[in-house]
Amino acid sequence: MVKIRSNPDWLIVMATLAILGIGVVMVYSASAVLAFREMGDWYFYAKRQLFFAILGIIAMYFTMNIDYWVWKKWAKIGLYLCFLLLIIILIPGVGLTRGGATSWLGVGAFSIQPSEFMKLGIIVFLAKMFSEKQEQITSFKSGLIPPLSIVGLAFGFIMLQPDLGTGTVLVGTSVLMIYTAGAKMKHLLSLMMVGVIGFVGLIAAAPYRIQRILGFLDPWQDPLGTGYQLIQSLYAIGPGGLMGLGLGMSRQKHLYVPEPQTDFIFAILAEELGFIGGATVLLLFTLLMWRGFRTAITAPDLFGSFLAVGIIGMIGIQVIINIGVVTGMFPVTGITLPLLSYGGSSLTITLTAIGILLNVSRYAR
Amino acid sequence: MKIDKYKKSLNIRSLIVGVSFTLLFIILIARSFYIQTVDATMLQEKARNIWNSSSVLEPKRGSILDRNNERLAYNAPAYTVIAILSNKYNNHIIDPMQTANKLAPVLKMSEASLYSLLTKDVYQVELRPGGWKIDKDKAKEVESLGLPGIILREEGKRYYPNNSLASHLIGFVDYENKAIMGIENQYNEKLSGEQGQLKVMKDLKGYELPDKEEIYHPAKDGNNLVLTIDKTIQQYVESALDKAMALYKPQKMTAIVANPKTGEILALSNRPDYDPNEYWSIEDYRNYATQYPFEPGSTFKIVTLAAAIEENMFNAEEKYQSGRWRIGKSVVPDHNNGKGWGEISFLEGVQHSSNVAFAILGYERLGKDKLFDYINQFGFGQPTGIDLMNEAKGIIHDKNQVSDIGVANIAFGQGVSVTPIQQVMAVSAIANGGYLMQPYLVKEIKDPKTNEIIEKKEPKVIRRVVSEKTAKETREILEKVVDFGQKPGYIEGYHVAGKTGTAQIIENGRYSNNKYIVSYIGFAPANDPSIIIYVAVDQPDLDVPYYGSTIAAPIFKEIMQNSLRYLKVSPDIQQGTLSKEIPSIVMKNYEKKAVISSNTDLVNQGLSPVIIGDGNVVIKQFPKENTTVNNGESVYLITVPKAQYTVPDLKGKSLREAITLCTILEIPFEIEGNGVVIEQSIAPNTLYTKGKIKIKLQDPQALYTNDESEE
Repeated sequence: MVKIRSNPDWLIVMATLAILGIGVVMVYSASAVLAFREMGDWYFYAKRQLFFAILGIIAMYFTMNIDYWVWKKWAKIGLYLCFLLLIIILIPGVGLTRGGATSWLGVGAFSIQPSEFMKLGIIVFLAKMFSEKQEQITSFKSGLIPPLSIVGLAFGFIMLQPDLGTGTVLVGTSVLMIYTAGAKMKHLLSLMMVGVIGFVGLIAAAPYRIQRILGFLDPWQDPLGTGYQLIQSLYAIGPGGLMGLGLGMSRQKHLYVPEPQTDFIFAILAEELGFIGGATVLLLFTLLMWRGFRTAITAPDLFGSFLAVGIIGMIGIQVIINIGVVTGMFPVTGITLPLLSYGGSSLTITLTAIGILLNVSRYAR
Repeated sequence: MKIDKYKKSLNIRSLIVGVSFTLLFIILIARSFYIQTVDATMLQEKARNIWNSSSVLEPKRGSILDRNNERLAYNAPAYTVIAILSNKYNNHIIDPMQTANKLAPVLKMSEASLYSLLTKDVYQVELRPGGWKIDKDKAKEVESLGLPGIILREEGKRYYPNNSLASHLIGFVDYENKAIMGIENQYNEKLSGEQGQLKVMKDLKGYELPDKEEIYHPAKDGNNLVLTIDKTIQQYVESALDKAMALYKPQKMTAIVANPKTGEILALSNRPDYDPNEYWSIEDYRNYATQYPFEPGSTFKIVTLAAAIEENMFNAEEKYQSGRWRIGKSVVPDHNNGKGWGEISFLEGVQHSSNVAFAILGYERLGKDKLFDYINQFGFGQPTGIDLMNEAKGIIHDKNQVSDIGVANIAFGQGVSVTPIQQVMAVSAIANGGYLMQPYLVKEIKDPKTNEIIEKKEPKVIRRVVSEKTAKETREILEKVVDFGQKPGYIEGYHVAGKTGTAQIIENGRYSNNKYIVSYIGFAPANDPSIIIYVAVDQPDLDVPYYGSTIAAPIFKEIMQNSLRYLKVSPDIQQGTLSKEIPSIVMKNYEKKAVISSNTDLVNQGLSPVIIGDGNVVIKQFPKENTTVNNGESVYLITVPKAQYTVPDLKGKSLREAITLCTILEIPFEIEGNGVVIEQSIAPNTLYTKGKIKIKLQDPQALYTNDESEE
């Protein structure tokens, strides 16, 4: 097959940079108070976010210009490396623990989050697998068991940290890829049943979990406990109104909303920029989605399609879960908002992935 | 083609995912819209309750400083340990048993009492008393235990860094922030400042939000008070009284040091005293110096003497028959059972403290009216106006109801009741050339921020009582009193004027045979006095007869000697009459002798005895017999066998003193730092068993600046 390289999808580039720009500004606005109080520097988080945004853009530029089929060769080694990193941080004393999860490797600010790399690693690996063995996908044994065992293993390691948020995104993205790869609905539904049974089993083992999980339905039942984060988030979004309080005018970022610069950045954004701001961000993401799926459909080969579906699926799932949590539609799980939330590894990996997506878009038929 | 078919299915499935995502995004946008429009008002109202907070801003209570700006009382942060018991809060007590077990040694509370607090059916509980207002170090210790549900609340606490020093005078602030007595109470308004108010939208940690809705009235911190008290002199008084307390075990004691020219009180102390940091252990709230009137006895004779001199009715050379003197049917006997000293001059009469001499001067010469007039003029029967509440005025009976013998008795100090401060001010009038001054304790009131003086108290003359000439003559006679007999108040190098007093205690309306208040009042240098000191010892617990001269005079002398040296008052006795500038003294033997007599003898020689242990007989002395020592040097008298040695309180002692004490007590030591002792590894007054004592010293200047920075 002849592949002709042309321009990348400029709408993806523009949507990405727009969200990224809003993100850096919002990280500054949301974190300044906290940064000054904890670090004595208003710009502590903003400076780092800007650094990783630039680093990410460079990475994106690189991957945008690397022919995506090159990744096929690296898929296995990449996956092994990701597994290796996940194992290394589990060695006591090696991984860095933040907020109860041992998810980081490295020193201080220059630390990486191997689970973020794993997300991309799995996408590339599954894309290669499905593009090579597309006819086997309908078989449960030879088509589903191998990818599911790899995904299950990765999920298991991530849950040992434990990081339910990233684990959920990993599984969600994989299932999405399996679905688009053509798995039988029968198989997928039975898999879902297994999931539900496992979930019920977990709750039966410790009934208090149900309260935690269902706390989002009525956060005012336990305003200082399970409902706390959600209530504080709603206190930000609600009073923001249609037009918002104005940039920098958030009240809730003043230590009410936990981690205003990471998981709950959308709440602060909605408070300061109002419904207009929040909807703009969501529409930008929607644009990114559409162009992403368009790339998947127009990709010259299956590997390119699966890469596009995986990457855009990963971003989409994170957006839906994150904003769903912040607006009280899902139980609280620690998932960052791609391109917006503070976090070096997450930002660079997302931009790297978008770069790959852009490269695929360059060969659109 | 197979591939094309597969690709088609892939495309369809991708499209399905894309559409589902879009639908979900639309739901998210709708959800945001709903929250930001329909729910917005409700959420805004609810949130407002959290943001809005009105709080009272507590002012910082002013410090109480001595005349050299040394802190006597100040506010500093303290921490109260709170246990959260309700499981509605994430961070709550999980295991009360273990929590009690871990906290008990740190808070010095019993495990059982902690456990009962931790199992109460309340939301949260303060762990009192052990966890109430603990200091920073202890708070850190509690924090380091990392117990769930245990939190610390920061608040202010009043600290009294010198513990019981001048405690009755300073007073204290109780746990409800109420000033109970002393300066704390008297000047409460000046010290407490004014509350402020803040009504503002606040964040969770109490910081203000950027919105402008606020009312802000800052608190006005309380003023600092500079007292007339000199901490060093106060320390001399405290240590002299401590020693006397151990030696004589009296019911009560009081001592006042004042500047006779200004009425400034330089030191004032009572026994028993208390530690204002642990004010709940107080035994007696009364400040004896101003609130305990009693029959003064012979010290009151000074008033009669001065009055007689002023009225030209006293001739020192004139003779009279001492022993007994008859008024109508009553007899005035001299204190040696009416034996007297034969026919002696009035000067000798004063020196012997002859009651007969004063009965003659007061009753016969001055007469009732004049005597009462002078008593009144000298300020008796009325409060002195010192800046302390509930001052007693004493009892001077209506002169029309006093019998003849009653008048005679009053002339030598019986049948009246006066307070120590009244006596100090009356005798000050003699010392300063005839002026009755108003005593005072607060010199300056200062702004806590700018340190500017807001109010300054000037010495206040109440009235002139006697002439300059009378005052001078009285001083000269009082000096001769000191220079007579056992010379109880005599101090090498200085002219001292003074008078002893021994008053019987009235029990059930009659004089008790064996209970006395012994006292001494004196000033120095006699011709130009800079210090006046009064000491009263109420009912020493002794088997031997005792007098003002044997009990109160040594205390007076110790305080006077130290104070004169500290104030650098130059000796007023000519160089020529002194053998050396600092006279050397050859140590006598005190071993196997009574502690009380040894102490008196050493003080009389101008030495500073330090008594170790509570035995009655000296077992060992240091320096040894025949050693040459300097005036004012410490002499250690050990009164218990080695097995009973207790660890001395070294705090505040110099390096040399600390080393000497440890060497004498055969306690091995280790020194760290320079200056004065601030810490010792073995608690003072505990029985010494074994091991090295680690002594930490610090430069007193640095110590002070350190304290300051903690504020």
